[in-house]
Amino acid sequence: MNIDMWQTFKSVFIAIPTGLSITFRYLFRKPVTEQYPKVRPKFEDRYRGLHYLTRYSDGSERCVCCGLCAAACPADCIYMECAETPSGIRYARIYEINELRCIFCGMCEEACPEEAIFLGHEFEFSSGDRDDFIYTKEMLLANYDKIEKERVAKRIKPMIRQERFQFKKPAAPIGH
Amino acid sequence: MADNITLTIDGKMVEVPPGTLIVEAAQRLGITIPTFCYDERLRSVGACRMCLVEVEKMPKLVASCATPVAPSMVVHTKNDRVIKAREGVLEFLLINHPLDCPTCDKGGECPLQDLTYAHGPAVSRYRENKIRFIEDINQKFDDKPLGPEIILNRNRCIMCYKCVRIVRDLAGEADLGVFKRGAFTNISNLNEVAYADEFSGNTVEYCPVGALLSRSYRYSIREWLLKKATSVCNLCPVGCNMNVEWSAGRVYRHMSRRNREVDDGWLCDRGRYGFDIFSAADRLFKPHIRRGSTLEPCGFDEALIVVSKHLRKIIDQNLGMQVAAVGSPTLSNEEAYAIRHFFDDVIKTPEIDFQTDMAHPVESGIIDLVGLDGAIRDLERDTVFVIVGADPAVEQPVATLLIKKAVSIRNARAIFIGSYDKRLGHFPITNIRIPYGAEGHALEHISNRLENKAASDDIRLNEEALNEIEELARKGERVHIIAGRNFFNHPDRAGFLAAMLRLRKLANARLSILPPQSNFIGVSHFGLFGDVDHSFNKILERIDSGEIKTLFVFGSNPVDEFPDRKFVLDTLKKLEFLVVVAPFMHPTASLAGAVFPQAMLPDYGGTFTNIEGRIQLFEPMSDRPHVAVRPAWGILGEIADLINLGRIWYHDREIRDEIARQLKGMAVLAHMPSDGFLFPFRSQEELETRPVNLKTLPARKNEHSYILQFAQSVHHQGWLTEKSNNLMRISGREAILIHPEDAARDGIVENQAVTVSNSDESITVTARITTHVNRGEALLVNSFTGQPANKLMSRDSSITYVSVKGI
Repeated sequence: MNIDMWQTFKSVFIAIPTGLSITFRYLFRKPVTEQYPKVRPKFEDRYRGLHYLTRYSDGSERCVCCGLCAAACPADCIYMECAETPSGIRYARIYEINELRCIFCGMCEEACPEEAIFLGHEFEFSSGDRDDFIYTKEMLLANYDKIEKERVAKRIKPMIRQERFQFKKPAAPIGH
Repeated sequence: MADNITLTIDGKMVEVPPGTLIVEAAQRLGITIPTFCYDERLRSVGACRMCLVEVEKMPKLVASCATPVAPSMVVHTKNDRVIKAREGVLEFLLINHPLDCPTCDKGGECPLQDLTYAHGPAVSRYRENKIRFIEDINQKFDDKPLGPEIILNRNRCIMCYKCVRIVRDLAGEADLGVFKRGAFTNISNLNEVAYADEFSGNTVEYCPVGALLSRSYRYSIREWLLKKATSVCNLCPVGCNMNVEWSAGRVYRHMSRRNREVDDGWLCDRGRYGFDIFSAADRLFKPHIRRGSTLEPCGFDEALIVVSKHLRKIIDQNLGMQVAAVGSPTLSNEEAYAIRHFFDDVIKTPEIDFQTDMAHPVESGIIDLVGLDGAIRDLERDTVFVIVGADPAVEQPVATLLIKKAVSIRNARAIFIGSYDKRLGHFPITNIRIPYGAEGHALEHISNRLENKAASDDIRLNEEALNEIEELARKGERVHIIAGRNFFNHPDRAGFLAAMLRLRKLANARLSILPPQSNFIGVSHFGLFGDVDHSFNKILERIDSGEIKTLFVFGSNPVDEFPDRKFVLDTLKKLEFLVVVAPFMHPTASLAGAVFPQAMLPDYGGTFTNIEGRIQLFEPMSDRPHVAVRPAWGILGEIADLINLGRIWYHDREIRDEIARQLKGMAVLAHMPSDGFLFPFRSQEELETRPVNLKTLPARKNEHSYILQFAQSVHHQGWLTEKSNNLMRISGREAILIHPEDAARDGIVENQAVTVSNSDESITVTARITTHVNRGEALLVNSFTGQPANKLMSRDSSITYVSVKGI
């Protein structure tokens, strides 16, 4: 009997005031709820959203289709096929990401040796059709163009080297 | 034999024969010393310095791949000094390496990547500019095509000289060389001649970096995405073991699978680059049946029902004798068994033949003699090769490597007797030129000399050269007589064979008749050819006279192969019903009433028997998307099931179990060992001497006629290899070789287009003028189905007379 009374006492005079104190504390703080459709959320730089494929400043694709992103991908959502330009440069003829399978872990951008693939801040790409989530190379490059346009407009310094790597003049002239 | 040497490696004692290299001794202990340039099949050069080890009492580290063991040597392979040296070597190797692994085809299977990961420094201290070999004027393209298939990127090269050694020591060619010195040392092709010898693909496979690349594999897929199916090459009867590497139902390349008894890890370019026959654009994947005048694609069941209804009718009326079947010696043992079983027991017809490319089939007595005498590995121990009526470098390239080895290392003699000159790389050989069809006479000349009889006084034989063979045989050298493709279409086969058997006995030699097609010996085990009364020629005649009304064709293409193309075409049109199992819609298939797509190598499993009688297993791709291609046993099994006779097979293993139960000595077939097993297909006692009755030599018909002979090239053999884009890129164009005197008389100049014609048919080819052929004889090399050579041949005689006229 004694114990029951003590329990009642504890809940009325200790537990409830403790809980309400938290409520009252938050009542006067700035709310954390995001008014998403009306107000766009702000992301940290490292946020991982929709992928994009980068270009060099001359407009050529960076991706050389080495397959390391696909190898690193734990969800196996990247598919690519290689080809060769007439001047012998390797590029991805087909580069597809299945964004439905993707878990946005960022392993692909970590694996990429050419700084070609990144995960951007775009997250509004839902659709009612599964086919819409197969992002082709052209779509991924278009994502980059959009981001790049914004970057230039906002005069933000580029994150990555913009020029294609050039071999410097060799140590000595080389003939045959 | 000297005593074995005992030495200590990393504190462990090992006993090895003298002359063993340290790296091999370490291998016996299970210690792996990292190497780039070392390959036990090639001569050591000690070029890469990766294998440095410390030997006590030696002041400097030594290259273990070039240092033979010595008694009581103490070797350290893992101490601090060695580890530091390895790091240093790798840092040096990587100084000028472009590190373009993302774009390099070798990435993922690269020894340089692996060893750098295992032993190398994490960072380079080199800050200066790398040396770069730029190959084009735009200064963008670093890759340089060495030939139609091989591409070289000299920036990646680490100078292990493996490619140079493969070309020089193995193939015996002089295509690649080393130029310049120091940091500018580089590999290049000599005199800018296109590099396309018959073993060029091996340099790509064994290159430890991505310096040598294949055009067919270039930038196609990454290595780690490929799945492997163990397989056996079926483009020649050597039966080299290989891995078929594939992904998503497409074959990307063939890589060697080392079987020390057969290929020792080498593949010829025909086997290596012929992989795209499988995925050729016009490959058949659907059955076709004839509706009216056109062949229309249909479902597999529909085609089966059409054929089974027809067969049911024949069986009900007991007209099995009206059915005939022809196959091809490239079919597997299981298919051969199934065909034999179906047509013998179900249809009950004796009309089966597997030789659809010659009008005069090889008799069963000779079939038993076909094959290599002894094992393939024994070839390197022979000291005199008398190669007569054969060009093994083209027909059996990988087996020829052992002849080349015997010639280059053991100073064996290779003597070619034939009507045109052959070559064995740059290795010294003797070409004894004889008139066409005189092989038997030449051998008889030697035999007569050996028996001290009066030799023939035929002035057309080069007696001095032939007498040399006699002297070598008298000295007790190990003589090996090798005959090949020209034996099978020789105008006087019986005389030729008798002469060979006589010489074999007199010279105490070995005699090998090497078959031209892949599974010739395996198919012959099932008695599928050699029956002269039921040869394809006879079958055709019976079709012509209306005795045979239904013909089944498995895997062969008689319209493109059999002599007298017009006759074959006309005869096959007379058939009531023609069923063709074909991988492509070739001319025979387009005559058919029903066409089934044929399964090609990685589609199905089975066994092949090679020239030494080794039965080897090949496996299908594991999870291929379902398509309607089936091997012959798959199609026949289903037909047998539909007509309620015979049985259906679901897997090649079932047939092997059945063969193992029924055929004596084949019990091993039920559980095949991975390196195959030798089935003793002929015993030496069977080779008895026959009386030699030589026919007179064929002569020209008139002044302007030529005797036409046919030769193939390494990269092109008939209608099947023609479907491979890779091989067509490498192989030369078709040409007719003519002696300069004949050319001058007929007014033909080099590279001129000429018509080669017999009385009513003609083809157009390019003329080449060379002294490598006899006067009055012409040699057609690389015949393509666009200009079918079988138009010119006749069914009646093995000799083809043509006239050659410039256009």
